[in-house]
Amino acid sequence: MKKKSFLIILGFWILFSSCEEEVTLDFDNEPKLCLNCILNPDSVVSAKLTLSHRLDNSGKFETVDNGNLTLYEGNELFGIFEPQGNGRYLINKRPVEGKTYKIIAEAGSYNTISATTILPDFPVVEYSKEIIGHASYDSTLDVYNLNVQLKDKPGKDNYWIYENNVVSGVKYGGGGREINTLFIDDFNKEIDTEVKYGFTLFLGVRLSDEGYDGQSMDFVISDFIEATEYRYTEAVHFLNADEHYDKYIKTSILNRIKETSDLPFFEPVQMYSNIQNGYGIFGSCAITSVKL
Amino acid sequence: MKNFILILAFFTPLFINAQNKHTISGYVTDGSSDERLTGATIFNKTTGKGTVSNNYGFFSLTDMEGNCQLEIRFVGFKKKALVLYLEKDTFLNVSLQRGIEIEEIKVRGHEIKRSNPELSILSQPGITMQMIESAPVILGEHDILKTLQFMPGIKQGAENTASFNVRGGSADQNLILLDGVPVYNVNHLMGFFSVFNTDAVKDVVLIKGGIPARYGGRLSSVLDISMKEGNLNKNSGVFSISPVSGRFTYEGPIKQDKGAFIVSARRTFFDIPMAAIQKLNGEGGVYGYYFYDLNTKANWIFNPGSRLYLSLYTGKDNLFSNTRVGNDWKSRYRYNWGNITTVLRWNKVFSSKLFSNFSLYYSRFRHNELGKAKDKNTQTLFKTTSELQDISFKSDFDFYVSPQYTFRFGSKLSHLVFNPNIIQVKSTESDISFNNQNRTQAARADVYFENAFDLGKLKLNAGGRLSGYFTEGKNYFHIQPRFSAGFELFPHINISTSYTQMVQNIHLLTNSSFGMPTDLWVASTDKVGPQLAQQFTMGLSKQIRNEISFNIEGYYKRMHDVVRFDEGVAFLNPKESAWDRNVLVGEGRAYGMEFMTQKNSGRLTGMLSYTLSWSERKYVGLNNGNWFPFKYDRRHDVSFLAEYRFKESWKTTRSFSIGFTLQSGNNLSVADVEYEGLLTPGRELADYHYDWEVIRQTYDNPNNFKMPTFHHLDIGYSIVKQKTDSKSVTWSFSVYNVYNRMNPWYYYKSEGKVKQVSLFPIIPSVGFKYEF
Repeated sequence: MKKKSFLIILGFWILFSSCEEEVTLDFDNEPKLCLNCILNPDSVVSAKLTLSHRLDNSGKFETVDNGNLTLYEGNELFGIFEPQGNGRYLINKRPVEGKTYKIIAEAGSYNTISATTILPDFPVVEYSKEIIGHASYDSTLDVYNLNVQLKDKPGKDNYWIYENNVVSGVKYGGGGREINTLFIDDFNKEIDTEVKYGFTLFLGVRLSDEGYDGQSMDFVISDFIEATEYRYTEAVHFLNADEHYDKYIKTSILNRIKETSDLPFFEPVQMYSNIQNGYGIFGSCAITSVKL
Repeated sequence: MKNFILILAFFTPLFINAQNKHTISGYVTDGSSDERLTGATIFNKTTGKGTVSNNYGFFSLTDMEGNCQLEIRFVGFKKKALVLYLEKDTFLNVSLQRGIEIEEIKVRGHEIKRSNPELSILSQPGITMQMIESAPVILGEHDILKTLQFMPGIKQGAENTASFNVRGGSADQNLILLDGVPVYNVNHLMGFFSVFNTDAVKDVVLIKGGIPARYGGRLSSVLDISMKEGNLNKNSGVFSISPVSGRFTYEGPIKQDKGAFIVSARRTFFDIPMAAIQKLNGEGGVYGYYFYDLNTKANWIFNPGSRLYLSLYTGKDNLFSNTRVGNDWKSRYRYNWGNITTVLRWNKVFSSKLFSNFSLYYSRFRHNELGKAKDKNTQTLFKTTSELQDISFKSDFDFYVSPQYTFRFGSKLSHLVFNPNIIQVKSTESDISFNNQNRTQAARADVYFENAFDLGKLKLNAGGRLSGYFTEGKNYFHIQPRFSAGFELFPHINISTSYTQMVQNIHLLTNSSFGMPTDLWVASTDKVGPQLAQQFTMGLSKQIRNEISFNIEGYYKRMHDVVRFDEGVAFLNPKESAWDRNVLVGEGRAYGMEFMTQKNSGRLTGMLSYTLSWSERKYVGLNNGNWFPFKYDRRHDVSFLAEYRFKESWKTTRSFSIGFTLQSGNNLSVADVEYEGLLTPGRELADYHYDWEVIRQTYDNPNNFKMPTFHHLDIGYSIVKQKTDSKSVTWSFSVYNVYNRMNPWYYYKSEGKVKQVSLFPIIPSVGFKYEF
């Protein structure tokens, strides 16, 4: 409906003899270092260093292999990254939840970049399965809900829920399952009357403990279908992101909403970055997975 | 400082003692229609003292005795001289006849009414209907709001839109009143036309600095538009037509010298040729667009000291489409928005020194989108409504204590209802509503007082406004001191200064630079408080032979708790969410210097202005909390508007007008850098991903791109042919954008390329007006 109305309005504008031409916007951007590194207590520390480029450069991002990357835990040296090629770097150690980390990266004549993160706690999750019926296409398969208790700890937490599935041998993963609870952050909610709750959550499910700090957050993730050889959900994951990674995910999704939207006057989104003198993200998260 | 000004302002009346002499009071009216004249000067030649008629044509000259030689003047009218011997207070109804005095032939121009003489001409630009009707226009439509944009410090949002920004403020910070009633959406057709039909407008007052205490509720400016009252003596009318619309105005007495009415209507023609084209093409449905305005007003004089007015304005834009496929499926779509304002007003003169006005008004802006589809078995409906209602009662008193001192005071009570973005989705199986939690009600109470002094060389106005705003769960109280002063430093050289504090309890959520109907008015809440602003101005003016003035004024404005959508939030996005969770609250600052030279008399009249200005915003959570340029931060702005009147005869008047504007472009946030990003959580577990998932596009600072310099030249030519004493024909010819400058209207990206869209090339037009 809205598309149609705008087409009509645009038609009027055309009546006013609108004129369209391709233009080159003259931006003078020098490449900057871009660092992407998310700490996770379950894995060793890896980072990637690349260069940014102008918007009119449609080529691949240039990787930086001559960087010196150092990671500190509090005021102590945690480790120096080992180059792995193709812009990748590694420290073969695992970070610890609750600790503060700082990264510093230098490369050639580019500005030195730095950032800090505090590794959040693992989400505490209790759950139970509740069978609610059978699949419409196969009555031998149970359909069940996952009743979840997310026991929030005092302090600000930023939860993201996603899952990974296998269908005919192909792996899928990401957010977007329909969840209807008060705790949902509706920043990416889009109305869709065709679906169960009347809306979808675009590209991710974010739960906020705002107003429920330190309390048990109870909700239902509905309509899982009993696993078969060809189709099954491996796990549901609860990710607790530090403030930087959380804002990064959020602005990434908003950017995508903007790019795919057909609305003509969408407020642009500035990508969140906590990298001083550069781009990218240095954040952290802790993930609790529920195997199904 | 604030308390000192308030104390001074409040207690001053107590120290003023009027002398026990006589008072002449009354109204100044147009002799042909008995329409009351605002801003007429009443001058006592015996004492050298004078006054100006107020917004309702009322005046009061106190401190008089014995012989008085009065001279009453108003531009475009013959002056009137009266000799009176006063033994008691006297009430006068002075009617002036249209015409020009011999000595005025050379100085027929845009005389500036000084209803607030303490203000500089840059804080209160002199705008007359004559100026508005002679300015070159686009598509033959004279428009008050577009002509205003030639004034320094007043800038349009997007090209050719009625939406305007004053001294670095946003469009919602302008209080736009029609007969004292706020009009919440002043735009037709995305702002290409304003809702004000010039045929029905009598008078326009704009104030952008030193705003007196009688006005409140917005941060940046006041635009006070008065409708004509209706002809008390005879029936008369105006018929006008332009390529866009037709207008018809008719006015006359209800009862001779007791009551009058005026009805004025305007409607566009867009839908008529569209319907014809659709019919010719044999299309299965119809679609189109039109807007209309209807202004009506009636008044009744009970006695010389009591007059009642009832006025109504209603206007609507309507976009419609009806589609039918065979006999089984049909759909209907309506997208409409509009205002209704109505006011019952009572002018009461309690004594020769005390004039009052009581108003009870209702103002509503509503925007609707309705989609219906139906087939044999199912029916679906989608409806979005946004609405703001304002019911208020206000009282205003002018107490003429002495010729040097007027004390004004008043109060206002308002009840506001906000229903922003209420969505209903209905089908055969379900009926779902969204955003009902956004429905809000609020109450507002204001009192104000003003002390206006005219002490010869020194003119000042000191006062204050106390406001309370009561919304669900939260009350806000504010004290707003107002002070302005003008002083004649040397003959014909004046300095002026002002300090104002303003409060705005409502916010307009908008993403666009023009007047979209989807812009949402919302009330302050416990989370998002009222906007506040302080403005300080200082100026200097020089007058040469009452013909040419040179003016300069600097201003500094700080704004607090200004609101904008959070990044990524779209006004059209039908999300179920409280609006105050989708906005950022921050600070604003604007400062600059305005220069203007104006020629008010002679065959050639006009103005040339230049503004150098800055406007910035700062929000926690955006741009790391640093200042960045406001969307309308236009560093330079040059405007030129002039009219040349050819030698005229009794039968024909011809004039040529020219308008030119050149200004820095608007600012936009445009992604200009690309870097590698991370997959969103869980996507790394998938076997595949898309390129876009690891590309991030962004910019270093919001509003990082300045659009190219904006400029265009417009010319106009008009001929007025006087057929009889009361009948005339006017032809107006205009060419907008004479040299066909392709000013960018907006940009968009398509297939990796940036496209610029320009909407207004060279546009010639012609308009016709018949007055009888």
